[in-house]
Amino acid sequence: MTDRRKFLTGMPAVAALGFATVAGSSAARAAAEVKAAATRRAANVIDPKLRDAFPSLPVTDQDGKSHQFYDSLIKDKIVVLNFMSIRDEAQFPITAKLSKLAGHLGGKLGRDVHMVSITRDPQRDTPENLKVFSEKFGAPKGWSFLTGIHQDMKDLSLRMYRMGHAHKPGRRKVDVVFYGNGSAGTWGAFPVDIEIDDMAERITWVMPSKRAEKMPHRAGPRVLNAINGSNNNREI
Amino acid sequence: MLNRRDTLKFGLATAGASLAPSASEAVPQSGLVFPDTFEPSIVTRPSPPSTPFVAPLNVMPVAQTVDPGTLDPAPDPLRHQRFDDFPPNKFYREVISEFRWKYHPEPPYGDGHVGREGDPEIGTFSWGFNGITPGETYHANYDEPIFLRRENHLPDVGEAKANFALPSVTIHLHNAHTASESDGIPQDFANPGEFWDHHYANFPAGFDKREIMSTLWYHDHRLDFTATNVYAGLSGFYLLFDERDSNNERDTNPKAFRLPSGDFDVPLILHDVQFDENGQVVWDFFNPSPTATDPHDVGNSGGATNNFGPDFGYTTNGMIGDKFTVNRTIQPYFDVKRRKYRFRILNGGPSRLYTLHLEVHPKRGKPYYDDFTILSTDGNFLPVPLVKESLSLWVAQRHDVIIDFSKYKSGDMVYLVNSLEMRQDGAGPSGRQLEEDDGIMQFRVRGRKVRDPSRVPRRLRKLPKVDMSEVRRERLFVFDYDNGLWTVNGRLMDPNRIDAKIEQGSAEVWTFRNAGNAWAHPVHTHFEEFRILEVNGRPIAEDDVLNSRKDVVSLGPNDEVVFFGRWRDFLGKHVMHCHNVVHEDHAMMIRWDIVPVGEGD
Repeated sequence: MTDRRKFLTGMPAVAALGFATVAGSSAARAAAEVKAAATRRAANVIDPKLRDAFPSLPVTDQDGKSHQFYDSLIKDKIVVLNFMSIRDEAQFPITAKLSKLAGHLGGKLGRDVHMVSITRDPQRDTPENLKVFSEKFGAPKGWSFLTGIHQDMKDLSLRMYRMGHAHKPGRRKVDVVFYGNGSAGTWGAFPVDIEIDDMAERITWVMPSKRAEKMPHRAGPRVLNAINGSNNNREI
Repeated sequence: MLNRRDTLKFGLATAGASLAPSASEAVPQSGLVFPDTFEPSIVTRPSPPSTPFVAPLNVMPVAQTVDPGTLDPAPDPLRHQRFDDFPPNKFYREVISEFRWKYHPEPPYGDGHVGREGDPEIGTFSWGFNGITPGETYHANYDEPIFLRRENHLPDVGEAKANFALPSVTIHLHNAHTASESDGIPQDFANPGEFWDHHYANFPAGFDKREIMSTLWYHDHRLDFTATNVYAGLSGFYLLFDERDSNNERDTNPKAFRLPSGDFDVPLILHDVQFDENGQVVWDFFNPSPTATDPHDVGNSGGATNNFGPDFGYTTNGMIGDKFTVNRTIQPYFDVKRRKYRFRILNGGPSRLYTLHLEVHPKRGKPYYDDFTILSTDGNFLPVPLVKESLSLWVAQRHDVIIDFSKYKSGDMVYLVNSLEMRQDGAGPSGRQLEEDDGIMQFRVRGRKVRDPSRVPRRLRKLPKVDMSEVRRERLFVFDYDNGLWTVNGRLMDPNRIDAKIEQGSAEVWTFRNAGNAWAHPVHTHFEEFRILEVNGRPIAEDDVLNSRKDVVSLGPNDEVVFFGRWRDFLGKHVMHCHNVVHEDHAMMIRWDIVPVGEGD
């Protein structure tokens, strides 16, 4: 056979190393891992290096203030991030939904959590128009509506999802809101249709938690519901 | 044999073309959601080189019980459905934590050692169970209920080095017949410092022995983070045995299958992984900050250019790695004796689909392809063993196969290879077969022929009857793409919305339809196996591996699959979702509940 498989080239002649799987019993491994995990946690410090991957593009908020996208709005922050346009709001009311989330977050918004809405339609959505739009939804401090040059807005949306076909109003029927920890670089997404308290709960997932002092603490299942004999899952 | 290769090649190429027409032929580039010019990091930043087949196969140890008295607080029967019907007699404890794991002995992956051997400060940051990945292999028996406590000792968000994943976990036992609270549904997570108790009753659905399963696996199922958490290392095997599949090749019980057991029964989990220049596992999202480049056309709709390179996107399509790993080792080798082995081959994802072949390279003579003897699909025994030249293995699917090495000579090499080409964005097959096979792992045949007490029985397990008179209703689920996201019946997952209320004890007929012509979905529904009735309007042939109980549907472009399922024994919340776990997280999943009779929709 002349077309010997490529993967065979570079096959080593050296004898490979022996391999033993981890020695000992399950109980011993579990106990050792509890100890090791505690030690690693104690020694762990948050990596000060840049741990994220957003372009730091120039953007302008609804107050006309300029920002470098990554440096001012993402880095070191817990962020809720979505894409919108004023024209699209009539067909797909994502800002109306998020305004309820903003109300639910209350005092945490602007302090613990920052909301960032990026327009897909920067030609029409000028800072002045976004100002009027945000006031219509009573957007509090801590919720930025961003615009900029067309290409930069495209780059930001392409960063999050590669969708070229849903920029026009009325084309969107579903969407997600991204949520992340800018200093950790951990990001998730929730669908717009979920309930407001579920949204608020999910944002806490990317926040550092207060670890229970004494291990271990029960997460579940809950005690069975006497009425229907089920529904003992975690309450979220 | 050479002709056979050519036949195989052409045959599959034709099949592939009908499966997914090459995108460039089907539609103009400007209309594509994922243009062919889109370059994910697998192209722009390949993993560091590693020599294939020098890393020995990692064989996971079998999990051992712990003294229930050491579990503090003690197991609480009031938290589990039917606990008293199935009192556990075996207790286990799993500690989930972060550690460094060597996928390969060569730098930058390792220091001459693999796994947890060698310098503990070398290797990629991984998550696992009791200090290893994949986790320990469970050997469970039918009629022996198990209690398992899983403790989350992961570092907090911001402290975890595998920062693409979320250190909050829910471990699903795929596809156990288990109550909702023990199933590991996406909502039942435990944060760092918390534990979750699982009660596995280990009885067949409806107490019907034909519903007995064998090869199960466990993996993370965290809402919004399943893809990244499994990728970080949270997967392992859970094997169920019974009187017939008795885990003893020397069993004197005449009913026993006597399949290869012990050292000759080896689970293999396939994950494709991407690494950075330091040998650290990367997820497409977490990459160095993009740097500005000259605007360049990447084929986006409307001609929008990209000004940043290399071109990374937060991936909603899929995640393809360029390193093939088996049991979290890159392209391992395995020394085998000249006898029969049972391999339990599992595609652990996240997104890659495989068509697997056995390629034999004799010490003397020309290479050729050989057949698999297939025992089971998705962990369920077939009525009879099937001899096939290839295995189709989509994400989460399993095949138990027998390979008989006694027919080869000492010094021969047998390779497990893949011939299916994937789209580089991971959303589905490219529609082409690879020019050159991917080498997944190597079996080195060694020594003289040895005594082999194992057998391959002529008959395996009978299929449960499909009784259409039990069907209470039919449902249609359409899988589509909208706005960069993945929908079921036009919607995304909401854990507080019940998309189907199924009456306990009833049967239903479900139709899965893929409305897309360029992507694929391995769709999984929890809790009970189902029987496929039709694929694209055609019934299933008797000698097809689909003539079995299944838990993952291969829903190719434009496919429509109809199946019959039953929901018995427990109540509560479950999910059905795409097992391309990136699609699942964005958010191709529904919640369905088993409800008391009379409360269904």
